[in-house]
Amino acid sequence: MSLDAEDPEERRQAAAALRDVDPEQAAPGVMQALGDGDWRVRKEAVLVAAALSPAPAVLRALVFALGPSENVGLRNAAVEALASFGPDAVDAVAATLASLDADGRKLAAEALSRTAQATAVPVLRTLLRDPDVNVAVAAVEALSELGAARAEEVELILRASLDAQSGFVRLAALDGLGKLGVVLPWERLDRLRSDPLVAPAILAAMGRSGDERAAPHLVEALARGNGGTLLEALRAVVALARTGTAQLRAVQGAAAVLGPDQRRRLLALVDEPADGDAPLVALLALGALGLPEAPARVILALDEEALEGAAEEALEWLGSRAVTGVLEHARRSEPPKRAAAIEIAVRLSEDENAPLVRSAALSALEDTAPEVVRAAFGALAVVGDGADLSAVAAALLRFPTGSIRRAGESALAVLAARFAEPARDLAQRAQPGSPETAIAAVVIRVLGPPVRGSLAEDVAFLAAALRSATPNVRRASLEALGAIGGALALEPISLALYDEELDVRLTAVRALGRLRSAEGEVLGLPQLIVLVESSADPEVVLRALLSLGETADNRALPILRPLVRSGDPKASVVAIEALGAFPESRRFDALIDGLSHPAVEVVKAALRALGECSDARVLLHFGVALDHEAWDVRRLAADLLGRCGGAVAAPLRARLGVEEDPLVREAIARALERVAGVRRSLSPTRGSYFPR
Amino acid sequence: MTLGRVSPHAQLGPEEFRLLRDLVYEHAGLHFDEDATYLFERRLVERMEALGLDDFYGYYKYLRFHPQGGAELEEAIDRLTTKETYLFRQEYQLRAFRDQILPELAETNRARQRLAVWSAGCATGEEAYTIAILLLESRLFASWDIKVVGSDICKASVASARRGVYRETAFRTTSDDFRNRYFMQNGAGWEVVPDAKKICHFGQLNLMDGGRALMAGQVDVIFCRNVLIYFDVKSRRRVIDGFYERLVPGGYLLLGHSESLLNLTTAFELCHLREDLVYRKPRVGPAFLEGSR
Repeated sequence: MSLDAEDPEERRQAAAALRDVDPEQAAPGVMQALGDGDWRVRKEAVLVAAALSPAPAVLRALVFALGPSENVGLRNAAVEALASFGPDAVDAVAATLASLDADGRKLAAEALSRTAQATAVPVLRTLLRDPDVNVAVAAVEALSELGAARAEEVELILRASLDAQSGFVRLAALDGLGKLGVVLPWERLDRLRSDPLVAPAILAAMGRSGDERAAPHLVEALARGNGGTLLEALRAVVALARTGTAQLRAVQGAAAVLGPDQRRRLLALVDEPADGDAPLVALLALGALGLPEAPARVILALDEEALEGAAEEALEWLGSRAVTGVLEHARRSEPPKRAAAIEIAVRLSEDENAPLVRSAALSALEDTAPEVVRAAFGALAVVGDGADLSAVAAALLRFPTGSIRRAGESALAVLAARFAEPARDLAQRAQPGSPETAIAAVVIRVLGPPVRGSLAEDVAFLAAALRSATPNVRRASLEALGAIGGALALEPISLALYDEELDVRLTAVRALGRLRSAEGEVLGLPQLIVLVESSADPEVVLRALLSLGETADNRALPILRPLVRSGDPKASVVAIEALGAFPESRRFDALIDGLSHPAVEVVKAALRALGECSDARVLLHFGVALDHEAWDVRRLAADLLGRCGGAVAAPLRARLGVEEDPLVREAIARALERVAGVRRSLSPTRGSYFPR
Repeated sequence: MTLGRVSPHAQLGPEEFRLLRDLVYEHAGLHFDEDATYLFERRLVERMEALGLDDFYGYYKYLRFHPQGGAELEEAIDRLTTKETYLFRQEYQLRAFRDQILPELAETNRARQRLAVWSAGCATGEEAYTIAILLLESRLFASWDIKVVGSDICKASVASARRGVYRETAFRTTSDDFRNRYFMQNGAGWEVVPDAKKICHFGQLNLMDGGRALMAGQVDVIFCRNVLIYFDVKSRRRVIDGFYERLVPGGYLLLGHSESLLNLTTAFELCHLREDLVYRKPRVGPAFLEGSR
């Protein structure tokens, strides 16, 4: 193996072997490999250089490689390799700047940004004044890449660069601020509008601004724009519409100036063959602008895989004017699309077309496709009325188990709550022991007694239903007993803890946790404690833990707290969740215990739960967790600190200095950005509309 | 010609039997001796084949390590413990219950007007419904709060008990009069009438889950017939201990005709009825037991 071999693979292996050589002796070889004509050898050399970090001999050689040279591959590889040398690279690059040519200084700026070191900011700042405009632009770009490390300072520098003499620097600064998610005030944007060099970037900035005053300017830009400018204007319109309802209204109001030809041109854009996301952006813009021609085209896109998601978003913006078309689409679509269309129609509907949606949903209850029936249940829960209760009940009884059944019960419950009298009639008609008992149970749960007589009679009816051979009847009855039962329900619920169906057992456990006396006393607490301590059924134990938590009763704490500290990880996580119902003063110390648990998932659950606490001590614990041995704990701690704000930047920066895991570094950078108060728009970078 | 569904590889060897048996014991406390090898092979071979496994060692590994192993173990135990039974079985004992125990309980419980009977290991419910019919027939407890709780480790048996529908073979010792009064004929067989059903409650319970089992609450009588034979001595003691806790002072424990508490516990007192010997929890428990609980 030799770095001079003819075969590139042999040279690559020779480069790889340099890892095991003393760095002082390896440096010349590394440099030779970095300058190799084959990219695989160069890539290997970059990895070797990183492995040899922080060897001074290698660092010196890398910085030397930034100097004048015909070997472009070597210079680029050196930039890449320098990133691994962190703060040492910043000092070394800064010391050599004066001796570099313009290309070298440009590369130096890039190398500095790749180090992700806050100490690179002042060095890059000096490059902003570089006589070569390309170097200054590179410095601006490097600063925006570095943003997360010194967000506040970088933002100030970039804002100041908006007044630079060079239009290229101004453009780079505006782009950089966009990348950082900085939202510029309208007044600043308005001043920049007259600058022709920054025109496309200013459109993007206006879209992100969330300022309604941007709407007419954006519509005007898309009315007269072509090519890239038109696409940028469309993106900006979409971005502005995404910032809020008022902004959407402003866009739709401004769109009134668009004539038929201009509207046709926009419509055609969706179908124009194009690389990238132009059709998608155009479709979203049709919805944002609310053009009269938009609903038909957007609804068609529900059948186009690449545009389906955008079509749903555009329909939300078009609102109720698209309902008729969406329902028509439902009628001619296959079941999954039919179900989706019904769900969309409900979301879009308003009072004037609710009867139309209701009628379609009632028809869909008879559909042979379960997903369509589920969608119909969901729709009727929103637009149905009391007269629909019987139809919903009949439909749900066709599904003995599963998610469709549950969707039907939910719809029934919502309708019963809204239309009490017809619901009560329905419940009274149910014969004990019949499948309709489950319907009555749902109604009793929602309305509360008396439904079929006195409280005792309702409880007796539900208790009798627990003997049904149909698990769903037993489950529905238990849910009702837990909600209304009082002391009379304790025995039937306790018996159901041993039901042969797990689902019914778990419902019984939940019901125990909810059962209250007339005075509000938790009636099922002793049973729940016994279950946790002695049940051999792990799922029952976990559910019992959650139910104990829901009681928020002090007697549950001695059961939950030891589990948080040292229980089986699954039980510990559930115990942490269960503690969520307790007042912060009572759960805080128990959650701290969870941070010492040997299982990482428990520590993370405890951290997340502590994130919901307002006690200032959480900052201290999050700071300690930044040094946890598990990378995902460190990342979560960084995320949580970022959300807390306040004086947390110091521990984050300290950790960033030593952190090696790239995902944790990213999280710390994000946290620092948040702490610095950088505001993000919904669409911080170009071309990132999906996934949302 | 097909001689049978069991492949040459599907025979249950002694070592495989021991592995499976110990697993069942570990999970449910049910003890089987070597005589049960054939029972294991006959009742589990179908499951083994259904899962596409070649031999019983593979089945053992599935039970132990597969994500669905827990559910399959329940299924295996269901198959191993399913037993044939019928209504009004061991009539002499039922007569003792009807003629001596029930009248006594009617007297002692008169003030609180509550009576609870637990059929532990109720299989498909024949015993529990038999008890319910006897309670109704006695007419001693009209308007009382009476409850018959049936429990079994087998999920399918509990579901079947809840349905309460029986074929002709279940009535081999039931009089026509009782059958016509307490059962209604439907397409699937004879279904228990609502009056008897409404006092019966069924649940899935592993008796090894301990005496703290909540299901039965405090009961006056426990029927546990031909169930203890599945347990070894240690497990039997644990189960009996649980029964002791669940029984009210003075409550009765009725075992199968070949079962006794000999060498298991001295906490119960033997009670000589006209047609049977049954066990009773003393009205005042032995000092050493009270203290140790």
